[in-house]
Amino acid sequence: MIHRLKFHAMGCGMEALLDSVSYPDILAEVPAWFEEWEQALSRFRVDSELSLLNGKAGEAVPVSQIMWDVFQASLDSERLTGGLVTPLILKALLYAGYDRSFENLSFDTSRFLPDFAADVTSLKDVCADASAQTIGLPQGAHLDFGGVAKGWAAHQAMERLKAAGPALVNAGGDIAISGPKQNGEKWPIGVDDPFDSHADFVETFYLERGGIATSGKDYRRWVRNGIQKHHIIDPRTGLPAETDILTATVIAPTAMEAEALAKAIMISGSRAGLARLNGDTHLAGLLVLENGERLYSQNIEGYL
Amino acid sequence: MQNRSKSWADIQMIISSIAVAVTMGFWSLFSSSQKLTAGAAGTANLSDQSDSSHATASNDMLLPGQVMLLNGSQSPTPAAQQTVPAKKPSVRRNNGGGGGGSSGGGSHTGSSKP
Repeated sequence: MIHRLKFHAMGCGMEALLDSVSYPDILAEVPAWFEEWEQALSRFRVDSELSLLNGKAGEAVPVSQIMWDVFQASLDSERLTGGLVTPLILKALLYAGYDRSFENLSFDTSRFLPDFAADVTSLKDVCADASAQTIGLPQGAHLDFGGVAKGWAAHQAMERLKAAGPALVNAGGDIAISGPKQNGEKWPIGVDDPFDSHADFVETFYLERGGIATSGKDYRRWVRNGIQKHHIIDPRTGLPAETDILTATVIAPTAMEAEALAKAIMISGSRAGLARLNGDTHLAGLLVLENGERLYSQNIEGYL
Repeated sequence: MQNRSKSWADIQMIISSIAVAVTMGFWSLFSSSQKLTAGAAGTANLSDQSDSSHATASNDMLLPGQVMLLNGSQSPTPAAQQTVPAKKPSVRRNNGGGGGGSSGGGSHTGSSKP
């Protein structure tokens, strides 16, 4: 029997599903896990560990295990995406106008300000000492883990839950799946229609295990100086990415990889993005373009 | 030599005269333009003025789904209502496309929303 718990964390709707005969007590603990992770990783909380770390650029700061693990996950994402996904985009996000949590981005207070492109550095410039577990940000650099934190959190929660039965954790669209259901069936995952949030799913994929995530510019966007902005920053320009893709859904071995690659493909555009999906047998995906066209990767058949 | 210095003095005089004339001409031109604009009289200069005010207004033009607030600012444009192409051509449909997801003991993925 599938037990489902829905809650709100990290500025998103979350859900945890567990397949077990009786209601597992551990399911009720999931929101508290996310609260702990959010308190460490949120850039919107002034007293979060991340905010304190961002305020101490230029010095080596001892960090918690959570911060260290997510930092390592960010390094992996940066390597996997050739630098297209990096947490060092905070200044670019602020310059683009994403200066508060999206729920509070109620109107454009800075619409008469000129546009700036921020310099985006690489995590290679960050001094991370594994033995002392310290992180030292270069002057002027600030971290924003964003989607990496959600993918990591989904994976962590799934790992903790799976002892009680087959588990699925969805952190704002970044989904981690432990294995097939007890009856051997795959988990159905609907892909939201980016053109109509009330419509049926544009597609349904069936996954036994691994990760699936969607990145898109259909929701977290705003208008500044009369120009539409969105939260997916291209580190090469320091500006919101110019892309023909509206949403990119990627299936990968883990939720972190799926999240990172979905964002990288968004930035790359449909041509390079589809080539990336087709060039790796571990990946599959669906790209919904601005013009409504849907592009499927070659190896998507196994998930339909 | 004396003739040459005299002719140089003449040239200087001519240059000065031209400079004064040009300055006065521009003064007169801009002065009349301002008067016409301020007094809403005349047509040529008014059309220039209306062009520039139109450009300013277009900057604040309401986008679809936006509401002009009483304080003069604009409401945020609901993302779902922005730049949504009217048609949604379907490239391929598998297993009926939709369905499954949350209702079928599964979940759904999309851009992260509250």
